[in-house]
Amino acid sequence: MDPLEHYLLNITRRRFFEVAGRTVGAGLGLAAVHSLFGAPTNPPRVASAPTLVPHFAPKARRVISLHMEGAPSQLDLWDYKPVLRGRFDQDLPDSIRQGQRLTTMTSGQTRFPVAPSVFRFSRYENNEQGVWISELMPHTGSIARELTFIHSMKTEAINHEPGITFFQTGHQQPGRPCFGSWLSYGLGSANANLPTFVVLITQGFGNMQALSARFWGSGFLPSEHQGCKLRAGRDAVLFLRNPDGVSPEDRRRMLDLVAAVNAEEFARSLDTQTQSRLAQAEMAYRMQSSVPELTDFSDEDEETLAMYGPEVKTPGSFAANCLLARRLAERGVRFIQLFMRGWDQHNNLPAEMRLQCKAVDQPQAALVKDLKRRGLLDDTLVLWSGEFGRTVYSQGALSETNYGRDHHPRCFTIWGAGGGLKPGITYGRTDDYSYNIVENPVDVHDLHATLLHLLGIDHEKLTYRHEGRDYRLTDVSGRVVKPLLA
Amino acid sequence: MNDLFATLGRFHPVVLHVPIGLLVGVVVLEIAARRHPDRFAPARTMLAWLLVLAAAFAIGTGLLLQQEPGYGGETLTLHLWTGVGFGVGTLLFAAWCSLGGHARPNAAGLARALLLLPVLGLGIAAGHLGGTLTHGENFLTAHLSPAPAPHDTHFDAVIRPILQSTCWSCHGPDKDKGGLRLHTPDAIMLGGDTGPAIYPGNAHESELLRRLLLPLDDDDHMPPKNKPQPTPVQIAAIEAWINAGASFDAPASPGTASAPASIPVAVADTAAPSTTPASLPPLDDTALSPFRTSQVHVERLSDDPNALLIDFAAAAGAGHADDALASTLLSPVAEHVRDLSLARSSITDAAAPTLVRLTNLRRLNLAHTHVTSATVSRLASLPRLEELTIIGTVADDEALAGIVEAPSLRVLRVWRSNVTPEGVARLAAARPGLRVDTGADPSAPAVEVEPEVKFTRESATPAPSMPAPVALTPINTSCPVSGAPIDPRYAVVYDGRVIAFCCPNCPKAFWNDPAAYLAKLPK
Repeated sequence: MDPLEHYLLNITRRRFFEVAGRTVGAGLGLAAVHSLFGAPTNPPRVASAPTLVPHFAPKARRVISLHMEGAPSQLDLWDYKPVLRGRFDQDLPDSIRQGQRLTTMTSGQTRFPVAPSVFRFSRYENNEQGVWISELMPHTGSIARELTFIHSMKTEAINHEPGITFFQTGHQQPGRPCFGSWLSYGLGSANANLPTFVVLITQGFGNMQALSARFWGSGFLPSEHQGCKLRAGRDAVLFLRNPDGVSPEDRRRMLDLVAAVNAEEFARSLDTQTQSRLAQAEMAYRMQSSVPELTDFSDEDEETLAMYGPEVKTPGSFAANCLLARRLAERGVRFIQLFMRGWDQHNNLPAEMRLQCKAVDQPQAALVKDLKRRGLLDDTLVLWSGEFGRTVYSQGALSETNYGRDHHPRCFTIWGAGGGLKPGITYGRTDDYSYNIVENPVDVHDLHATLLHLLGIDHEKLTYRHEGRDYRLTDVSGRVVKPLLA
Repeated sequence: MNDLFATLGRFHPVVLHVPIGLLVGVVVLEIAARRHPDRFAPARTMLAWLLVLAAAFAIGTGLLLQQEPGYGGETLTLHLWTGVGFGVGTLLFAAWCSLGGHARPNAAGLARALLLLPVLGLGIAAGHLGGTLTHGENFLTAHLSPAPAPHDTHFDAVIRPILQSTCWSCHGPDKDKGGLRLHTPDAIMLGGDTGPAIYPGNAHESELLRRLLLPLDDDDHMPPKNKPQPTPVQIAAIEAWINAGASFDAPASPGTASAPASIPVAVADTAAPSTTPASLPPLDDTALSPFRTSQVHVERLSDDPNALLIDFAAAAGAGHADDALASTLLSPVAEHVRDLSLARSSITDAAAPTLVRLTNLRRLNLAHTHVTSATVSRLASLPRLEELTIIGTVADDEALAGIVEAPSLRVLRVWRSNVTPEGVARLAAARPGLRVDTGADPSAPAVEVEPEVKFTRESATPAPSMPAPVALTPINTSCPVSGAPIDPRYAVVYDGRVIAFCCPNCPKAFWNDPAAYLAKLPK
């Protein structure tokens, strides 16, 4: 909604007469009173929740996004290129490279030797001819019937910071709201005791890049729509517990007093940030009981815990965060963002990938299976992605057992499950070097438009006015990729 | 045909009653005139001429009416000729009354009677045929005919009677308004002027259902406002039939007979009705405010803003979602609840009376609550319940035995409760279409594994799926068409050479006559 409109909606009847009275009292004369009473040709409006969305019947009601920060290699996981096995250490043909831009990490290399994947692939049945998946992801392969693979994702960014920012906000420069913030703003909360947008982070085993808080920032949207990071330590949310010696009653009295002061400030200034602050303080108070209940896995049965793998009892592990994501989805949280760090394999790729995949494979498959058997997969959309792909040529030295791969924005693979995606299909195709898309390219805006569509939102209609113009997640681009819809 | 004539034609159903009345009068006066010719014969003759006029007017308007689209068929032709015959008969009769007969009264009387009888017969025939056109076949005897023999197919047993009673009078053997007839499978599949009437398997793309579901006031709504309307149950039956593939041969389900009242149960196995045919009464926002103050999430559904999705997750987490709260909140909006989650709340069997009143409920989640088999069995009475989740409850096989009756149930999630594999097997046998999720691991092993990975440097050919483009350096520096400097973006390959142009238009000129421009290119 237009911020000005938002502001005007907060003018209540009482506020109106208060200002009117003050104006008269200050002796500004009848003209002022006249202008006050005469000016609004429309009857005073009463503040009400804006009815924004959905624009049409949603398939998905919430999203769990598993972001592999650092950009995992599509060549070693999903994009099966057996023909490359016969082209080991050959130069990448110019006809494939086509002079495309490289990062400065490899642009100085004298040659670009083709590095086929060292990993064996297996074919898993899906609802088409099957899909080839690397030996690193056996659990994920075993649920291929539920998964929707997009082999033809592309992005514009070639480095992590702009890449993740683009993937999260639809813009390479920071400052715009994240997908989760847009969703929180558009759909609102389904559980008043928890944030609508929750972020869970897992530390990786490979090369880790910076993960800044703006990847879950709300940009110019009201700040209650920013992602709430749950930590893995003793306190999932910092400063949420009452300090020693402070009773819940004391805390309540303190909050009431602060609320009263803030209410007075709001009456004076009409600054909506005051309301955000009030809302967040109340949310924090309710989270004092809802968060410990959320993070306590003692009500999970052994069989479920076993499904997520041995790491599930280690707070902050990807397994624990996947289980937490399911628990958040069950409780109606709209957008659950998991980050798995450490996928930036510029060198030593085979060894690092083994560790990374061991950490994510079983939990992410368990998450999909667990959602499914609880009846949540129908309206929960799971998305697995990196911010871009990796090059077919080796960065640095290439041997039969070791190599590295540089950033590659021209094509990469993501997958999704549930939430109205067509299950068990693959979409898009790359060339034999997984270097260029030859069929059905999907860019980040297209992906966002499609996800919003599944959530019942027309991506062209979910807008917010800021600095004099309407902004949207897909900027001025994006199309719904219909073949992906069930 | 101009509008005036068209309007006149529409008067046919009105004016046709005048000759009928007059005919009765003529017959009565003719009988009376046998006794007292002096008193009644002149009146009869005058009435007979009036009858001729009225019949002519009725025939004229009838001829105009039949010009309208939607009229045709054997019945109409018969009606037309019996009507015309009737008109001619009345004319002969009136003429005979006026001209002949004075010389030999007896013979003339006999001749009049002989003339009047066929006129009467033709009048009755024309009238009956007209009635058939308007009201459909068997209208007169519908209540007398014995119950039809059991039908073999679902179409004959369920769908055809609905079409017959609500559609055939305009889209049947006798009329094809809008080019549509619905009395035979072929005619149904043929559709009407606006295209196919049904898309098998997709009720909501089907024009037939769309028209049925439009608001009564909509001009496109069918049947028209003042005609008999199908019941919501009948519409649901048609929807289910189309969604199930609109088969004309599928066998009738046992127990369907031809009673449309039993349709919802009969069709539920193939495809449960996916919409609420009976529209819900409007729901005011004030009715939802108690939910918000109790931390219970409520959402209007976008396909029907009066239908609700309700989730007790927050209240359950806060520990105050109990039987009393469920009853207080749900009872006032009972018929509006479509999707309800009470998972992890502390409700017990005491909530059952509240739950069974949610007649439009489709999805219910009772996971990790204190309900038992008693409550689950009672849910079988919910007519639209499609999905039920009772994982983590103490429900046992008794619950499965009870829920087997739920007419629309498609998915049941029962794992981590007290149900046994035998109970699940029994339920699966009784309800083949029902998916029972017992939490079994759906993982499937790989079907094919790549042989050992071996690297070689053999094949030097570039990727076949991405043919290598020729070197893109143009051979020319100035455009062969215009002579201006080239823009490398506008290049074509001709005879193995890349030729560039100054603009996107010049290549077209080049392709029209390559020979003319080749000379201008460097060799």
